[in-house]
Amino acid sequence: MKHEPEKYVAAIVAAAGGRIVSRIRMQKIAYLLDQLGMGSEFEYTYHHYGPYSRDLDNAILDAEAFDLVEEKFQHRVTDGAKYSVFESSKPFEENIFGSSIPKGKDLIKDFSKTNVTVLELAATAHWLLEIEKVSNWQVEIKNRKGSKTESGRLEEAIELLKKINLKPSISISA
Amino acid sequence: MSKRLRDPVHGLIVFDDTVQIDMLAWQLIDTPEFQRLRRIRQLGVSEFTFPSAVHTRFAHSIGVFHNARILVDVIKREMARNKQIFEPALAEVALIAALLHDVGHGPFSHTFETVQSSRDVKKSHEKWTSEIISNPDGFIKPLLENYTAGFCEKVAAIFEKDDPEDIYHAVVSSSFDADRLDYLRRDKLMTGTGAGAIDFDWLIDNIRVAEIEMDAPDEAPTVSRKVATFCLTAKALPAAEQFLLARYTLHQQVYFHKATRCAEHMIGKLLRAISKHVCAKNIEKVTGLKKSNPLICFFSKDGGTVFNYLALDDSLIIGSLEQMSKADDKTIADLSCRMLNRKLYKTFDLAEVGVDNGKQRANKRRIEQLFLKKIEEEVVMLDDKASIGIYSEIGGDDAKMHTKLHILDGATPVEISKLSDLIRALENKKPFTRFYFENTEDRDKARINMRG
Repeated sequence: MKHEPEKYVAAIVAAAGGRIVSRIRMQKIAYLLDQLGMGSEFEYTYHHYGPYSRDLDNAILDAEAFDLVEEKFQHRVTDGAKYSVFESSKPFEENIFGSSIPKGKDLIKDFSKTNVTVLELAATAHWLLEIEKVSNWQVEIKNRKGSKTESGRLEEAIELLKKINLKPSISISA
Repeated sequence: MSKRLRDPVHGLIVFDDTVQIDMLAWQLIDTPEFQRLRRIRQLGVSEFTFPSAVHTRFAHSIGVFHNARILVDVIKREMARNKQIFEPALAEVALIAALLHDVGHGPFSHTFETVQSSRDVKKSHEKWTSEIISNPDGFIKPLLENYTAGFCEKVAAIFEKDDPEDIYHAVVSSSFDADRLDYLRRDKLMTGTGAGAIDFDWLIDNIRVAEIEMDAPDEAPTVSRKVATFCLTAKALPAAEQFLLARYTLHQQVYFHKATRCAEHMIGKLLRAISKHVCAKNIEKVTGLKKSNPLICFFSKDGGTVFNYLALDDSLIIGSLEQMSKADDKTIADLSCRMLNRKLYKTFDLAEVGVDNGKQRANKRRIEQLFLKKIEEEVVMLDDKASIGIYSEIGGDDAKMHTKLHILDGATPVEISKLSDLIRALENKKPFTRFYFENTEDRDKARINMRG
């Protein structure tokens, strides 16, 4: 790892304009960036929202403890379900992404505005093909994610991966 | 003829010979895949902390089936209340899935998953469960297919889905699923802990079925998918709080007990040490295990098969400790002796520095730097993977929406923290961070270097 783990968290939040909504979004952004060469050395396993890193969870705790990032909570109006909002506690200027992800900051800005289920599906599709080596990932992702893959979300996820040159990079029809 | 089992949690569990699904369940219990669960402890190495916690996944799984039948009756009741149609075929899938839900557990359960992960085998116990059920060479699939064509695929599919698709699936995965309703009571009873009591009868009487939002909450408004699941009436709010607190305190006082976590880490280290030697020429001398030992077979190249996996259980490993204590590999020999005689590594819990998160994280960083090489060699082990919140899962991600407890606010199901100050106070995850030291001197050195 080139940098302390909390710096990856601080850098991601800063690149998103100082604010990222949802822990799930944070997890998927970190996963996709690591696949592009961010180099955090976070270890990922598969959980119900796709690739997940407990190391990243710990890094978030460190980022809060060392006053780089603050985690606040909001609640969905309809059912009161809680979600996290991460905000930069102070400016973060260090160049974490360097030459490995030349447009890292732009990517993060885009990801931060992407529907969280689309990010989940993108990360999951990549995980299934590249990590679990499931050749028939299209069947497997529909098995696992069920109705989440409907309404064009899976197609949008695959297009996102294609745009950032991550596999699977084929277009699929609805 | 009906079959009966006695159980310390549920009393008499009857398999009625006039009920086809009960008879199928009885046949499945008799399969080698299910009988293997007698040799896998529900709480792994918790007996090092709670001597009576030796109950098995076998007893637990039968208890889960019993609970599943109760929940299916709840669905029938609520479908009638809501003037909806009850579907017996879907209920039967859920019942059998409940019975078989743990057949895919490896020895020492979650510890074995981390060992697999360290060898780049990314297969969860749910995936193993699905594969074992669907195994054409196994004993389970023929029984299921004989019951109804296509039944096996439907049962296996339950374990492949990340989210439930209907109320019947909620029997197996929800805030009140059959699994939780058994292990909370069983683990409390068998450990002897005072924590973890729930008001089971009152909860069951107050379960309702309603549709909840399935998508994870986000700031941007979206049209969320909905799925029917179990909710509770408002008058069951105190019982619901008690239920969540029971789970919370069991995690805090039993599952995450430092002696238990220490023993789990030691078993993990032992298994990893064994796996490194699978290609050794004199494997028996190095590890104490014959080449034909199921552990060696499983860790060998291309050995990760269902056949080899089913040969692994707690008894195999515990029974091999004596031989492994004589291994040439010092790590294997030392850890095996320690596990035989309960000589655990020495624990340093970061809670000793105080509750302040900043102090804890700073001291964690300091100790990591101080023992960098020893952590790489696993002479010192860092345990920072446990954290507890009201929806704690071991090794978990954000809780799934359908596992969050919903209370009916009027006719609208809302997440319990909207109505309960008590639950809202416990939403945030609290980390448990410990270091396990091979020797007392290093543990004391860590303590001396603490900064308050």
